Amino acid sequence: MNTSSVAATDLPENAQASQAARKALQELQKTAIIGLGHSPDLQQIERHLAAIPGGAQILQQSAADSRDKGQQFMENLLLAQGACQFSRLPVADRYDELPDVPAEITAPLTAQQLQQFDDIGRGCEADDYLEVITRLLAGHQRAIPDTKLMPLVQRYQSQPAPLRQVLTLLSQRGEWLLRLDHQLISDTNALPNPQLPHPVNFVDWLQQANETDWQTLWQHWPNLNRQWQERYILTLNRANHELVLRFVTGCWSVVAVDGRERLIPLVARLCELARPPAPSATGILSSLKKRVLGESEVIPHLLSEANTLIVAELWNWILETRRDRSAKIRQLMLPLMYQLAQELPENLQDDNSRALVSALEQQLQCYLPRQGAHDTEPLAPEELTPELEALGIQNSRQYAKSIAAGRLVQLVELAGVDLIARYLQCTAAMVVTTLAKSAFGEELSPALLASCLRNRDPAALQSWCKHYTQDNYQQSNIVGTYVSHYGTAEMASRLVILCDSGLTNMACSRQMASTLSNLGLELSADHSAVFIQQLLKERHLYGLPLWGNVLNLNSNGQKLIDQYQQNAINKGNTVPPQLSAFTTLFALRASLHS
Amino acid sequence: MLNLTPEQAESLAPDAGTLSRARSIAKPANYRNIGYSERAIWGVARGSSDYDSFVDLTGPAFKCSCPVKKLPCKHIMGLLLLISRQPELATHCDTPPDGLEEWLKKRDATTEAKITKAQNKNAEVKDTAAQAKRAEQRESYVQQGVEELKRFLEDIFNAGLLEASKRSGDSWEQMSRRLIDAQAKGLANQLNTIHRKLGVGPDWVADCLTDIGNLYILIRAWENREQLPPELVEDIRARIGWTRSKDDVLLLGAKQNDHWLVLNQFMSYESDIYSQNIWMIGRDSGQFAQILGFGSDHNTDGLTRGLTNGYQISGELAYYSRWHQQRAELATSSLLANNILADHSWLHQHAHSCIRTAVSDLQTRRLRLPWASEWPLLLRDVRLVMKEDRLALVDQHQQLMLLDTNEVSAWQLLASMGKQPATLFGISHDGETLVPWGCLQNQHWTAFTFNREAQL
Repeated sequence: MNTSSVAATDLPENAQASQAARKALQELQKTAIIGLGHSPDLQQIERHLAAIPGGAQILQQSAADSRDKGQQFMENLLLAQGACQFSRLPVADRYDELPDVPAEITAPLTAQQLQQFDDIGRGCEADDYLEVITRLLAGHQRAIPDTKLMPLVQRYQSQPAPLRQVLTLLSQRGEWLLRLDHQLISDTNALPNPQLPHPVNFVDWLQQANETDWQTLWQHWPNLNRQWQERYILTLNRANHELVLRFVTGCWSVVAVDGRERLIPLVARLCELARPPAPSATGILSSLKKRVLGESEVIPHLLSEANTLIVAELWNWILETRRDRSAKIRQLMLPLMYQLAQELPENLQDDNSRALVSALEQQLQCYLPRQGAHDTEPLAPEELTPELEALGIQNSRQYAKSIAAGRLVQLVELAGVDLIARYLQCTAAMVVTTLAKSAFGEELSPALLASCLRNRDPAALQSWCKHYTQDNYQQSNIVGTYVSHYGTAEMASRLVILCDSGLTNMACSRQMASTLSNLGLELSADHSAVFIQQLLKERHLYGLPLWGNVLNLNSNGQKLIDQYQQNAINKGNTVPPQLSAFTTLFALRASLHS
Repeated sequence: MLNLTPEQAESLAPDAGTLSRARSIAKPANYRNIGYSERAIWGVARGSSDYDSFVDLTGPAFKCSCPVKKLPCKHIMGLLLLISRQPELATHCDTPPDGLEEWLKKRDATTEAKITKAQNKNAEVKDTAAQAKRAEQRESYVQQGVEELKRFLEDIFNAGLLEASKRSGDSWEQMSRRLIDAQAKGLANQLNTIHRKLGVGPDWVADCLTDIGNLYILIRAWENREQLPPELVEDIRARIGWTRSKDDVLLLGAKQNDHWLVLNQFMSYESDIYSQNIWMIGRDSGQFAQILGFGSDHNTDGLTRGLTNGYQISGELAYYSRWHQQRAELATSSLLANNILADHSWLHQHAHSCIRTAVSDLQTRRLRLPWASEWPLLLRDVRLVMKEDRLALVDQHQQLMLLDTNEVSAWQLLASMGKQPATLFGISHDGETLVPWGCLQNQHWTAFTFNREAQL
């Protein structure tokens, strides 16, 4: 900050009187606390008061009028307060200039767009509004304007997650404001890190990054909160496969071996969130997350669409990583290795990969014995054999209530429905059906889902949904979440079709809405019609997920909404305010696109 | 054509639910026979059956034939929202529909009766000896209460505030009740405030002493009332407990006709009571006016509706006090129809360009009425700077005034003013710091929102 100084000659004329009054007031306060009974002498106070112009005369007068000490004390109080309070005048003093407002790096919203945001806000719940604007703005590399930002900051001040979501959409001026208003943001990590490039510029920065830049990035990365990390990673949507991989390996190269464990969550996050056009690289790398964080959720492996070059590169990288000194990292890499071993193209397969697949198949024979054609009744491994241990399977209650069942779950997850299908000589969808109906159906549910998602097999996923999500809203949400994070447009479309078979929860779940939106999926005309029919049912009309879904409706969906609106007006029915907000939403999205 | 803004229409809503419902029906297809005159707006809302919706712009007041008792209902709000967006839908007509005319006549008769009653009341006061005797008796009661209060305060200081804070509340409550018996409710309220502050917060001693000082100066002013100007005595009496009804003020208060810019309005909600605080400034007179209103969830008649920040209304105000023209009541009719977007350029003429002169002027005013706690201040060409981690204003002479950002978040100031000079309106409670209420920059008036702002 610049410091401006002025000559200290501009002191108030009555500074001496003010000082005397202040001293008198201090003495009066002390006396007031303990009482006149314990502080009989008011002379000290009166000496100060006498220094105030006219003070001596007033004191004399009040002494003559006052009948006792109490009254005299209050007269003195009035004199001191009057001299103190009413003589205060501003003075020229030192001050610090505010820092300069930085230039904006994102295009500002037009007045019409701002108006559209207001109109949408009037038609939806606050949380939906936040979801809509963050999705729209982040997706189009725009910032929240100050006038919209601050009410959101104040609203979510005590809710860290949505607040951080808002803060990742700061304009430069918005950031300037928040840095100056200390009362608003106590968590400075929630604000952009000035040492790092803004997410808007991140891709350009990555393209030119050198070793020093990687070091800077890695130095600050762990301190970024999850929302900021996601914002950076999401910008990689604009990047190509090689750049995404470069981002990971660049960081890997500058991190000390012992510190690489900390890098894995970043890699995993990157893989979770980076969207097409970098699906292959992210898909491959996403498997790194498996069990790294000790989370119980299932992490899909999106290897099937990986291109050969990247699979090969990753295979080499993984083999190299295995030589790391950290046993934990080696353990963490195992599932990925088995996955890669199965996915390697014929010409890249080597002894290592064949041995790994063979070891898996042997264990399948033990615990998924064939019972006739395409059928099996799984057995839970009663003990952790050295063979199972070599596969990386552990004794843990993380996967199932029974440790034995947990071993089976790990084995199925590791092998995946594809390998099991090859082994049972049936389709992946049939494997799902068979295992879902088995005695361990419930325990195997997450493992099967992970495998379906990993293999990007819509038929298998559909089969899973039929068995596990019928009239189960929670399960529908789980699928929605996973498809959102790791799925494809094709998979999401398949899920939408499930609406036809009575799985309405799927279509109308909030997570499904996120799924479609995150995947940038525009529904086909037919699917739009299915969606609209579901959503316009009274019980769903005010439902939260509507917003996410509407973002993805194609022009046919818009027509259907218009028709519904017109019909309601013609019939004299009340038109829900959301519907007009939808139309505004479409217009705003189109305007941001352009 | 009707001059009603959507913001203004929305501000008339009694609650968020009604507003939301009104938005959904504010469509041309849902209304017919929409009309307006200088006095009123009307329309027929189509629903399960037709409802006649009327708005009397004087007041404003509302009537609807629907069964909802909380007014304005969704039909009236929908009508207002609709014509604020599409004023061309309303046809100008000097002859209102039958039901409306009857209602307006009834309202006029009621208003007239109120004025006559107030006039008669004042006439009676002058003429009736019994009234004079009652007034004298009240003065005597108040005098007794004041003397007891003075002794009570002396006792407090003899024992010490520390001791007083440890004592049970009985003696304080007893004194407060005594003051209410003595018809000095204003003094009782101030005493209760002091009692509540005892031992609370790090600066409680200084806070209590300031309040006791203000109370004592009021006592001394009462004692010396015979030497003081009658206008000031009126103010002192009001402070002590003599109340004035709104009708009395409208009839007897100091009138001021002007174009009033609505600077800002703040509504708080405490103990089931809504308290409204509106500040305006006159374009020609440069005088400030503060309008206070009170209401509850069940009765919001005491709250002023339909004013939009940054807009100006033309009309008459009646000030409560002739000594200190600040608190006022709106006497203007047809506020809605006269509402026009203000040209704010004149605001500069009434603003101080020197902080020191402005504060000096403020301190002089404070000396005239030391117990008043809210002092408006309008400063121009001031910039935001930092003074020891606090936001402050600096003028061209490098003089500083600290800003109090507890009630209004600093970001609002930063967002609207940035580093550029602006004209700022605020309220000072102590002559030292300023609570910002709004600012003018680039011909745009920004009214700040308050952290404790309540919505109806």
